[in-house]
Amino acid sequence: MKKVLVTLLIVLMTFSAIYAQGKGEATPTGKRTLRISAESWQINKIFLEHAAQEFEAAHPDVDVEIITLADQTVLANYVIDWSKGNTETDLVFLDGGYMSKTYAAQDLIYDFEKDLKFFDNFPKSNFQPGVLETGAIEGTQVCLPAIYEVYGVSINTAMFKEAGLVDAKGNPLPIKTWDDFYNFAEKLTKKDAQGTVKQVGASIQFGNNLAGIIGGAIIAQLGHCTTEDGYTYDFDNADFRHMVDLWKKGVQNGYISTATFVDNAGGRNGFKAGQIAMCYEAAGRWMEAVPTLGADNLSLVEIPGGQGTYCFGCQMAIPRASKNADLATQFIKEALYGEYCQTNAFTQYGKMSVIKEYFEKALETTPLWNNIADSMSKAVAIPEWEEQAKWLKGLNVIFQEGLVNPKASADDIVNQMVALSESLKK
Amino acid sequence: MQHTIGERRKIKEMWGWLFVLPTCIVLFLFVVYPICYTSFLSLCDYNFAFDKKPTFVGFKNFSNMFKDKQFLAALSNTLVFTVFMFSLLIVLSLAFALLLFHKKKRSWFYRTSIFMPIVVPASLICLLFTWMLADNFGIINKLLINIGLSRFTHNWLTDAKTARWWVIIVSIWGKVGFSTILFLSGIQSISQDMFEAAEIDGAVGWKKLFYIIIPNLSETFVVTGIWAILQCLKLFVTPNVLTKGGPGNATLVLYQTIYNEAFLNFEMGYASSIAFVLTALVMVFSLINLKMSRREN
Repeated sequence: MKKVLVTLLIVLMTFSAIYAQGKGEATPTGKRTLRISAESWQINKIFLEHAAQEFEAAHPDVDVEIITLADQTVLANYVIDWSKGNTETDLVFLDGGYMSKTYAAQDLIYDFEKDLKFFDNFPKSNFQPGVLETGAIEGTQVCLPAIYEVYGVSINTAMFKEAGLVDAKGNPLPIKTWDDFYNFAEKLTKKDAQGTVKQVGASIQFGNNLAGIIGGAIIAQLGHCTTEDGYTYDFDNADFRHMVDLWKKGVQNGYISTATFVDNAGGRNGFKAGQIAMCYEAAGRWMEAVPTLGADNLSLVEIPGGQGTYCFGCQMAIPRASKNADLATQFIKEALYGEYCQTNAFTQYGKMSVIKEYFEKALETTPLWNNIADSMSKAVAIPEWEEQAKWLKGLNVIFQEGLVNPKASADDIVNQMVALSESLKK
Repeated sequence: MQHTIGERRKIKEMWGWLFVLPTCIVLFLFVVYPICYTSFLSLCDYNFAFDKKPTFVGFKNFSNMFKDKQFLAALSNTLVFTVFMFSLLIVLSLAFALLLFHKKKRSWFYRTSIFMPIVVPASLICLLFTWMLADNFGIINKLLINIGLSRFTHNWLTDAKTARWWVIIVSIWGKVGFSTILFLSGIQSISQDMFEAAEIDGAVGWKKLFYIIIPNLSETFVVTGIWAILQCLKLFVTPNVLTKGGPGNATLVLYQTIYNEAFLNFEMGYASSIAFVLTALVMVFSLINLKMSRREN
């Protein structure tokens, strides 16, 4: 009897293991399941749950399952899964285009144009000018942007008024050059009798978004980002060296915050808390500060130089391993590119609509964006390199060590950047 | 059907093997195979995002390591953190264990205070400290300003020197509860008769600690020591969440370098070779701990 029971248990365990392996293809109700993976900020700020509900209501035979990614490094594991023909997701959200290059290198994701014929009944003319390019790699549309963002300088106008940095009408003075930025940061910084900084003039994102910060600053200064090869940043010049020199002086004198060295959100949180007067990073930061500072105390200006800005999209890709590519494209067209997601992401979080019609509608309700309209019209994407992570980590080390080191000059910092850039695969 | 004794033994053995088989399969799949494959990868150049298959390069990854500034910084930080963290962890947990052993009044309060960090997820602890120590809006700097000590405010996490100390402090805060449990159970297992006899012989206070408690904790020191060494060398969550390994490379550790190389740079070959260096370090430190404990015995 004992032996029979043991054998039965072993058989049961084996069957349950086999069942667990094969689970996930068909649901007991016979419905199709569309699986979408995204980070929590993407789920919240692009209103993915609302989009899922809308799509399920329109298609009762479809369940939409949203998988929350812990962070972007999880996406690396998809390379292994997808190259074996397996996938736990049908539509994946990427923060920027860095991973798409990796996926495309092994032909793991669909080309929206040639493979999925996305634009056959959704013309390219529906999109904002230039946004589709943020999802293309060497002319192939491997990703589509869900929303897009540009860089700018968010400012606390109450602090500008207090520091006397306003014109006769009470509007903040324009920040035309990096010298202006430095001088304003100096005037906006408050120190007590003991020299302790109580209010910081400015914050620049010296953390994870440093490549964008550098790219944006170059674009605003020169009107382009790269040299003729289309990959190398055009930073080996006097303008950029001067800019770095000012950043360095700002950090060492306490006019520019170092909070972003270890905390990506350090600068924007300081801005929202009313501790920092200017915040140079994604332009939507001023909108995040509305609940704490009030819309009347906030403004948005162009990156010094005013020749353009850096734009990037939150990209979407569909793995070739997915059996639901048709559902995923339908979801993008009907729900994500619908009015609710596109308008609310813009008006509530500054994540701009990629659809021209909704972009213009949303702009009417938030006219402050018109302050950087000229820059936005000249927005450029920065190159995504094969060794992008090494580039970013290298930049972080060079800047975080160089900016606080009194012995290092701006030339030293730029020379290290040149050497790093030359050593990496693009 | 009747079986002979030999047959019965064989059947019994067969059943034995059958029961052990699932464990053997699991061990082979999740321990033996990964170790063998990692050894192979450590001798290969393999970027899993861009290379179709690994290319054998011999010991090139190991020789390249010593030219890599990030690896050298991570190695040095790991060793420094290990020395400081290990010493502080052992001393503090022994002190807390003694406190809990002797403190009879309100012992529930002390126990809860010391053990609570164990149940809080490490990443959450680090996030809380990130906000508390923030330059511009952190509660610690605010508190210092409000009590008139603004000259002591500091960029705690963005200054390399203080960032290192905070990584050590936060890590210890999160781990000291567990090692305290180990020491406390060790102290509680010492016979009460021994304490009473020692007291009659005049061994009180420090004498009791050095002549009765510590010698009787030698086994606990071995277990706690190995556990502490593993925790120190495999430090990951604190520097990864609290400082992201920064500023610069100031708090970058080996475990983080392995993760970055494998899942950010996709360099599986190089990451595997660093993993072997870390394994070697764990073994060396554990052996030192074992030898020292045996010598004391």
